[in-house]
Amino acid sequence: MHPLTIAWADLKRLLRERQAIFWIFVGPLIFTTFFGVLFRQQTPKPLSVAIVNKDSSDTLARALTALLSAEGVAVATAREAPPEGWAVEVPPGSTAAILAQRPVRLVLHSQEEETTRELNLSFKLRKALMTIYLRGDLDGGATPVRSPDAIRIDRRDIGVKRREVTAGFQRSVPAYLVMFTFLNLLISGAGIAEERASGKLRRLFIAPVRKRDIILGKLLTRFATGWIQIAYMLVLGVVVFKIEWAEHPWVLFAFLSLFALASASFGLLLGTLFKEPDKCANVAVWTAVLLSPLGGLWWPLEIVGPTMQTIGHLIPTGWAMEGVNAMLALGAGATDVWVFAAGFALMTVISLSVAARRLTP
Amino acid sequence: MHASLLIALHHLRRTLRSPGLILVLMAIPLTIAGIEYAAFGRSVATGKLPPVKVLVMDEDSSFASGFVKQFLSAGPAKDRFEVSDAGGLDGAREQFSKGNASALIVIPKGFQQALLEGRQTDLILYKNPTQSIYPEIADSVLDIAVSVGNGLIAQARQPLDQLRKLSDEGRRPTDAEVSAISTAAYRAGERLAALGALQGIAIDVQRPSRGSEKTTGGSPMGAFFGTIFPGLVLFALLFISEALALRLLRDRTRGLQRRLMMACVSRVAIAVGGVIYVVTGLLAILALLGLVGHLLFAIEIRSPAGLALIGLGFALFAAGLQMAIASLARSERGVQAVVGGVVMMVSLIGGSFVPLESYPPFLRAIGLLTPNGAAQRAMVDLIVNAQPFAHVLPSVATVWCWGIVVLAAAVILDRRRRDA
Repeated sequence: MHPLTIAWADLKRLLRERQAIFWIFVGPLIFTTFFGVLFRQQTPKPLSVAIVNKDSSDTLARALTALLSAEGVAVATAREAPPEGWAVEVPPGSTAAILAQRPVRLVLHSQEEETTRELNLSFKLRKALMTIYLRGDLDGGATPVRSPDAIRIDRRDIGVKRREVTAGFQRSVPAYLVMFTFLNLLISGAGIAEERASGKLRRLFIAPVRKRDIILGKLLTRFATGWIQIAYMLVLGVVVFKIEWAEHPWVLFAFLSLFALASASFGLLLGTLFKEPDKCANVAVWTAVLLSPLGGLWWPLEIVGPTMQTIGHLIPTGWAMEGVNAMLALGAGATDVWVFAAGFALMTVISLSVAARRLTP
Repeated sequence: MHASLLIALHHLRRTLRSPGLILVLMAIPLTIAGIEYAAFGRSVATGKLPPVKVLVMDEDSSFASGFVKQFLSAGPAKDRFEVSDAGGLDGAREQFSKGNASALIVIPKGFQQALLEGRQTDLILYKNPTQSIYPEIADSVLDIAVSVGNGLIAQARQPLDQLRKLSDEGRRPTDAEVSAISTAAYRAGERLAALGALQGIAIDVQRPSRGSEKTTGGSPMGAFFGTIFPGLVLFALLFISEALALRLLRDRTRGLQRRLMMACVSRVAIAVGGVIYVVTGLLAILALLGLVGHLLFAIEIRSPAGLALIGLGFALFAAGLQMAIASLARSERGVQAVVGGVVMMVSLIGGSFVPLESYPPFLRAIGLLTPNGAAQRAMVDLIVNAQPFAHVLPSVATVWCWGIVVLAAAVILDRRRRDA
């Protein structure tokens, strides 16, 4: 019996199962849509702050208002810091301190946790104070005085045009492509445990077919499932979610195929480790749940600490996401992602070798 | 009732004899909670975001370029920035790709010379295109650096311009010109010296106390887990209820239920026994997860009776849901497919993975009407916000309404199936 015959028979059976259909086609669509909409790129709301002037003079408060307004911050005045939102308190003696070129300490009333918006406001506030110092007087507080621009900032793109890969569908489609490919191929290992429990595997071993062909056939079934998953998500990304895929689409497809092969092999290995299909499936789910966030599939790794980032670089889901992100955002080619591809190849060889040794009827 | 209890006890014993599957499912919320804490816990506990990593490529190697680097590493953003050498554009590209840096600042060759000659010059900023938040912070800080630099240059511009003019004309200055340049240089020096106060600029951030008003979930770690763990536990309970209910379905498909019906036990007793088994099992697992949460994650268990009431309502819902689906489905695979879809939708909308506070208002309102959304809100209010039970009563009522309605539907569907 040819491995392709085994693979074709298994694939037909798999695609008749409603559960498989749901998790290959419906589940990813729901997750991608839900999180793509939830974390879509939004136009940042303008920053707003209340200035609470405790100084006897309102000169500094007025100068700050003018400079912050020029930076696009909505400024209001208040007697006390409101319980919600941000407030800048100008302490007594601040204006005199500025005029005497002495240091000044403002107080920013904020919320429990620091946010990037707060950081942004804090930087704008520093910039305003420094501008006031550099100008040397506060008389022209109503109109911000700009220094002549001897130095400018030239903002450029490194390699390719900047593409947003951290929000909306541009993030959710590739992230859930990787996650569901990994999850489904790991769970597919439960099929091996089920075939063993039901005696199907024994019947196959009795048939005139070599063990090598059985393993190859089982691997091909899972690899084909991975391809279906990848192709579905790639098409969905273009047709439904209108995202931009990589500069080198064939490199991306080959890279994802290698990832699918590694995941399929690992799934096969899992299938040989358990007698009970349920237990195998749930360990597969647990493994995917563990490796997905660690690999940066649930949130961008930029927002986590250095230890978590390091862990992300050491696991297959992290390699996949890093490679895909590099291809999507930086136009990376085969030479840029070969290390991850080599990792997948190694994972395939190791998993398949152990699975082949352990696969018994 | 005695027969129902016996049947439930029998089911529970069987589950206890083979607990592997349940233990794996219980590990899922613990794992996710642990990862979320490792990822965000430190930021939440300290109230500070991780530092922004910025690469600098100094092609000028001059005093002026050194000032730019100094400003970035020791200026107003010194606590926020980690500055390191880029090692060329290719090196920066690699660091960007790995997510190891958020921005690259290039100080071009001739930067200082251009400033001395009064020509305009650029600092080049490359933002990591794979990131969206931190590159903007880097941009803001560079913007401040440039403002300061431009301000300093403006202070010294007059004598510099005069000197350059003389140099361009190639003649000896007159006494009056020497005097004017000296005066201008002296005044610029005075102004620049006074700018030492720039170093003293400070913005003290005041935050509301965690302990007094809103959040009283014990330690910051306990409050963090107290916020995320209930949603994850409820999500796990839904899947565990599937595993428990599948045993009942297998009893049906493998003929055990038929054998029971031939004994002197009523159909109602068998059905009630099944419900008691799933509900008791879920409550025991909830209690176990709560204990682990308390010991491992320092979650303070406040109002245990209130939590038990919420747990019971949710267990009734989960048991009812699984039994209703099992009544409708013909095979185990059918049950798994439907349950997977329903649990996923309920968990997404109910905010099991992402706090409902992050949802848009309309979705948040819907989320609070789901059984897990309402249960999660009530649990967090009791555990973290130390609200009295009366405060969470509407949420508890929502959970119980779902529990009673879904369980009643399951009983009706089960009876219809048996009659058929």
